[in-house]
Amino acid sequence: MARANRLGQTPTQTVGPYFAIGLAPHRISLPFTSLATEEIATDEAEGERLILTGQVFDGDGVPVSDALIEVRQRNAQGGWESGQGFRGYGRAATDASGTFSFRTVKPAPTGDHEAPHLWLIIQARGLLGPLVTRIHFADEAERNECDPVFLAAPPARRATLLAHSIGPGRYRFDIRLQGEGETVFFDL
Amino acid sequence: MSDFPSTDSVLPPLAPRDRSANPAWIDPGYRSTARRGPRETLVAVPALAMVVPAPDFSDVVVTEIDADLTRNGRMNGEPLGERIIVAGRVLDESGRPVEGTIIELWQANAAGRYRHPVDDHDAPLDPNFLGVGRCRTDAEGRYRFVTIRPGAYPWRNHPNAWRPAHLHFALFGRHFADRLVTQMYFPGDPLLGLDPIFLSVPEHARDRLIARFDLDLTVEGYALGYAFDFVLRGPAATPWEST
Ligand SMILES: [Fe+3]
Repeated sequence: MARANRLGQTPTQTVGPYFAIGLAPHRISLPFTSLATEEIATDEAEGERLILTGQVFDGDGVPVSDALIEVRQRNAQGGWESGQGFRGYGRAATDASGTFSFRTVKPAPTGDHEAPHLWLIIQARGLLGPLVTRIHFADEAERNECDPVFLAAPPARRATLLAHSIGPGRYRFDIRLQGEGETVFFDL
Repeated sequence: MSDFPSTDSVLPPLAPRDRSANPAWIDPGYRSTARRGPRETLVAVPALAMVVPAPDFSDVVVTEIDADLTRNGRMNGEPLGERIIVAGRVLDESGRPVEGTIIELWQANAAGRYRHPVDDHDAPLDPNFLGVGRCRTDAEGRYRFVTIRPGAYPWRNHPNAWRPAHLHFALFGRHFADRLVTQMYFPGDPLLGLDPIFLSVPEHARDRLIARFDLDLTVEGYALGYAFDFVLRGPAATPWEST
């Protein structure tokens, strides 16, 4: 905890409503190459194909149309390495209905008892810093019950970390920033 | 321990975010936070969550023109406004430079207008200015942008609300959770003391968001220079560094 001899960390500020200019120019047809897109893995990547979709809601249940979602995940072998169509990182901006969508492959579990999961960072107008959460898979209940990060969440709130199957290769994960069913956000 | 290939072992754990230097999730002055900031306490994580690596952008080509916003959006001439240079270093909190990290920048034009479909401020767009740039730090963590000084712009937070001139920046360190999205402000701006977003930062840390005019960065006959350093969290202090 000692902060002696440490430089002061730069404080965070909101991404604001216009972040697509810098972080997702492809979403507003700006002629500048995006550093990352909704494609975490291309069709060339090894592994089980996944489409992850969801909506972001505020404390009144109103869709958040100006949220940025960033995803980081392991590959189908359980490593962080990119290559062969696997980027391991993606970015999406929500649309008018608060909806986001990613194309990827299912990450492998790891030897450290981690269930398959994806890390998410959520930012938006009205958020003064990044919110960090994880997507776990509802159909991996056995692995989830051994996962130290999943278990770190209070039992009554763990369900907010679960993506549910909505069809072959399709999962749904909604994010509630506040209020009833508020998504678990980790102190990271 | 693990039979799976992983880069975990080469990445030291991430230092905690200094919450005392950061805004609260719900800020009475910044209206949109009331229904968007989480109300539950953030959940503490086990150590293995502190070693998630940042995305790998090693194959991304970043050119000099990507970092020059006075050139990367030209259609038929130069963008209007006051040219400026913004440069500095990306360091971690122990003072070590962060090498080869990408910094992304977006901003309003000189008239205070963003090239974004949602911005309906009645101020002109500039056909020669996109307001987006990108730069990669060198071995000493240095970066440098050439751009146009952005204008102030109104927003609807409260009556007669104006954002001070600012640049939006986004960067990662070595860790995914070392994400920093922030705003850089200009020294002496009278709007700073009235801006709820700037004022959301605890008082002792506010000056970390204000650039410093720098004659050494200023290019004679061309552009004023502003110095601005980013301090990321970086690796947690080793036991002998803390007391
Ligand atoms: Fe802005």
